[in-house]
Amino acid sequence: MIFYSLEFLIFFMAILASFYFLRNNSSRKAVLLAASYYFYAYWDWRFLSLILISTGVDFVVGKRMAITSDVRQRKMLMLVSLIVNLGLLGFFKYFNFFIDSLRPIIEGLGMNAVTLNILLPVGISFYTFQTLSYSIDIYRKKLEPQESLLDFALFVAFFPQLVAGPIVRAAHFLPQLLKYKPLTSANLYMGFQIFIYGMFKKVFIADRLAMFSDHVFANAGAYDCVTTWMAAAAFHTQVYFDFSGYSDMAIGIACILGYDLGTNFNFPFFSKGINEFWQRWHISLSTWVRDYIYFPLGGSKKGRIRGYVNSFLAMVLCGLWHGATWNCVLWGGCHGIGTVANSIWTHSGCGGGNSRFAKVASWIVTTVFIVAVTVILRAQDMDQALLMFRQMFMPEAGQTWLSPFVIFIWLAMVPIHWLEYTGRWEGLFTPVATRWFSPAIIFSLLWLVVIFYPTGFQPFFYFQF
Amino acid sequence: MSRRITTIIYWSAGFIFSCLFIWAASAVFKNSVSPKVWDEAVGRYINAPETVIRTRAEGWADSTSASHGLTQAGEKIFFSPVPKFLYWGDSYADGVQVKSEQRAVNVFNAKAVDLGLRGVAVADSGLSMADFYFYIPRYEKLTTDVVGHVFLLAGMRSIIPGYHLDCHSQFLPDPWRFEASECPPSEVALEYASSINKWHVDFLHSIYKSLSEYSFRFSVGNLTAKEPIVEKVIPGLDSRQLEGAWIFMLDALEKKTKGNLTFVYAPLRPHLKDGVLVMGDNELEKKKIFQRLCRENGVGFIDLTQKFADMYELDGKLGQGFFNTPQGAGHLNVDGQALVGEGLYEYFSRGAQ
Repeated sequence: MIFYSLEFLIFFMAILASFYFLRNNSSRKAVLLAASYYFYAYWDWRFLSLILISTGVDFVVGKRMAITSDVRQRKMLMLVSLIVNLGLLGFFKYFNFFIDSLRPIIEGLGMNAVTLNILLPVGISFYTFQTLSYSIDIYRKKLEPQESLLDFALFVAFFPQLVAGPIVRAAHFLPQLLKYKPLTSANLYMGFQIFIYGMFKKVFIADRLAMFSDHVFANAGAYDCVTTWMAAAAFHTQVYFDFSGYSDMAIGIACILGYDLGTNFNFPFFSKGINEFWQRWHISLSTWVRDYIYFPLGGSKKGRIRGYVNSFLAMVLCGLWHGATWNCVLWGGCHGIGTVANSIWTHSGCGGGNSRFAKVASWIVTTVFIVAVTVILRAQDMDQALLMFRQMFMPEAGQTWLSPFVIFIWLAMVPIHWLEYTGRWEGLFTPVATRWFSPAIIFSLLWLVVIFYPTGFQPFFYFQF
Repeated sequence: MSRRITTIIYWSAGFIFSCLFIWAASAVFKNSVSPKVWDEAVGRYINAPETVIRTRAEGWADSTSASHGLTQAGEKIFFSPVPKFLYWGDSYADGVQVKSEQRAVNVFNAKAVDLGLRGVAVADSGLSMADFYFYIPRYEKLTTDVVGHVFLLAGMRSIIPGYHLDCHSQFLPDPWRFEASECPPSEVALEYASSINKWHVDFLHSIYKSLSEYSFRFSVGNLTAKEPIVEKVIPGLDSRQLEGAWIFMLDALEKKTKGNLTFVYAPLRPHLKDGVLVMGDNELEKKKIFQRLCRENGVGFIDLTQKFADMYELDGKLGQGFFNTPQGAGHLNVDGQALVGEGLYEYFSRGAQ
C-alpha cells in the first residue's frame, strides 16, 4: 500500500477513528499491529510469514539471553538470531547473486549452478536490521529484553517504517510503546505537515526527476557530456527526494499517532566530505553500519590503517545492503575509498582549514564525487555505467536535453538550503497559530501533488532494498 | 481573538490562498481540456470554436480553435478565394506542441507566397485515412478553390487496414471498405469543458478524472499472481494484401474529390532507442509498395526520409523531442514541422515550374 494512495488514506483514517474510540494503550497497540500486518500483506500476504519468524525468533532469543549468564549459551543464542535473520535475508536477497557470481567455480566442479525464481520481500533489509540490532544490543547487555510480545511485534512491523525505513532501534522505539499516546492537535498538525512535505518531495519532485534521469540512463551514450552529467546529478537528487520523502511520510504518520522515528536525512547536499555525507544521508542506516559493523570490526581503535580498512569494509557491506549486484558492491567500495581518502586528507591537515575557499572546494569535490559514483548505483549493469562515464569524462558528440524541470528544482533547492544555513528552516515547522503562511504552504504543496501527479507509477527507489 | 479562532482563520485563508495558487499554476503549466461541439456541416465533433487549447506536457504552445475544426489561421485561408490544398493528418499534423506559425502548413504558407497556393490544416488527434475519406466532400462543400489534398503520414500506420481508434472511422477488409464511426465525447467534454476552459479551472477536471478512473483494492496481495498483459495482435497483411488495400484506398479517395492527392511521408526517424539512434526506416518495404502505387495512380508522394536523416547528419537535430520531453521521441518538433513544411514547398514549387 503506497502512502499516497486513496486506499492508504482510508486505511489510516480507520486507524485514527479506532484511536479516537480506544482509550486503552494495549488495545491501540493491538490495532496498530493488526493494521501493520494488513499493510504488509497488502503487497504479498505470504511474506508475512518471514516477519512472524523473525519476530518470534528474536523475541525468544532476547528473553533467553537475558536469563542466562553463560557466555557460550549467549553466543549460541546470538548465532541463532544471526543465522535466522541473515539466512532469510541471504536466501531471498542474495542467493541468486552468489550463485551467479560463483557460477564458473560451481560449474567447474561439475555441479549445476541453479538460480531460483525468488521475489524479494518488500522491506526485508529494513526489518532484518531492526530485529538484528535488538538481539545484538541484548547480547551486548545494552538493552533489556522486551517482556511484551505485542510490543516487540509492533516494533518489528510498525507500518509507517516497515517497508522502507527509517531503521528504528529498539532502545529508541520500545520505550515509546509503554505509555498511552493521546491524539493531540499538535501532533496531528506536525505529522500532517511532515507527511505533506514528504509526499511533495516524492511525487512532485522525485518522480518527475526520474522521467529525465530514467530516459538518459536508458539511452546512455546517446546524450552529450552536459546532459549526461545533468542526468547523473538529477538521479542523485531524485534518490534524495524519493527516499527522504518516504522517510518524511513515515515520520509524519508516526508523529500523528504519537510516535517518534528519529531523523533520517539532514541536508546531505551541504556535505563537504564523504564522511559528513554519511552523517547526513540515510542516518539510520549509516549509524547502524557504524554500530554493528564498523565498531565490531575494531573501528579505528586498532590503529589508523586498520581503521581505514574497517571503514572500507563497512562501506562495501553497506553497498551490498543496497542491492544484490556487483554495481552496488562497487558503489559501496567507491564510497569506502571516499571515506578513507576523506579521513587521510583530514588527518594530514591539508584541508585548508576553515577558509571559505576550502569549504567551497571541499563541497565541490564531494558533490562531484558522489554524483559520479551514483552512476554505478543507478546503471542497470557495468556496460551502461561505462557508457555514462564515457560521456561524462571523455565525451563524444550527442544529443542535448537540458530539462527545465531539473534546473528549476536545483534552483528551488538553493533558498531552502539557505534557510537551513541561516537557521530559519526549523522555524517553518512551528505550530500554526504563530505562522499564518504555514497552512497556505501545506495546502499548496498538497494541490501540486494532486494536480501534477505524474502518470506512470514510480515505486519508491528504496523499496528494492 | 482566541487562539482557536486565529487557527481557523489561518487554515481557511491558507486553503483559499492555495486554491488561487493552484488555479494560477495549472493555468500556466497544465494542458487545458478541449471543449467539444458537434459540427453539423462537417459531421464530426470538433474543438469548440474560439477556445484556446494549452499544450504543456509536450512542447509549449497555445492554439486557438476556429470553426469546422480549423485553426484561426487556417480558417481565414479556408474561406478566402485563393487556391488551396487541405492538409490532413492526425496529431502529428495538428502540431499543437509548437506555435501556430511553426506548424508545417504555416511554414509552407509563409514560404509559398510566390506560388499562389495556400494550405489549410484539417487535423486532430486520432484521425486516420478512413476519417478523411468521409470528411473530404464535406469540407469541399464549404469552400471553393480546393485544388488538392495533402495527407501527412507519420509512419505508415494510419493507412494500414485494421488500424482503429475508438470513435473513428475504419478501413476494413473483406471486402475492402471504409466504415464511418463517430461517437460523442464524454459528458464532461460536451457539457462542462467549455466553462472549465474559460475559467482555467482545469485542475478541477484533473481531480474528477483521477477519481473517476481510480480503482480501489483492499484485498491482500499476491505478487506472483499478476496476469501478464496480453497485447492484441492484429494479424499482419502480406504485401499482396496491402497492395490490394491501397489500390482500393487510392481509388476511393480519387472518387471523392476532383483535386490532386499527395502523401507526405515523415518517417519518425532517426529515433532514439536504447542509446542508439535508429536511422533506418523499419517500414521501408511498405513505403516502397505505397510509393509505387501512388506513382502508378498519378498520386503525389513526398518522401522525407532522407531529409530527416540529413538534418541529423548535418546539424545533429532530430525531428522529434522537445525541451521538456525525451529527444528523438514523440510528436514532430519545430525542426520536424519545418522539414515537412519545406518539403511541401519544394514539391509544389517543382509542380509550379
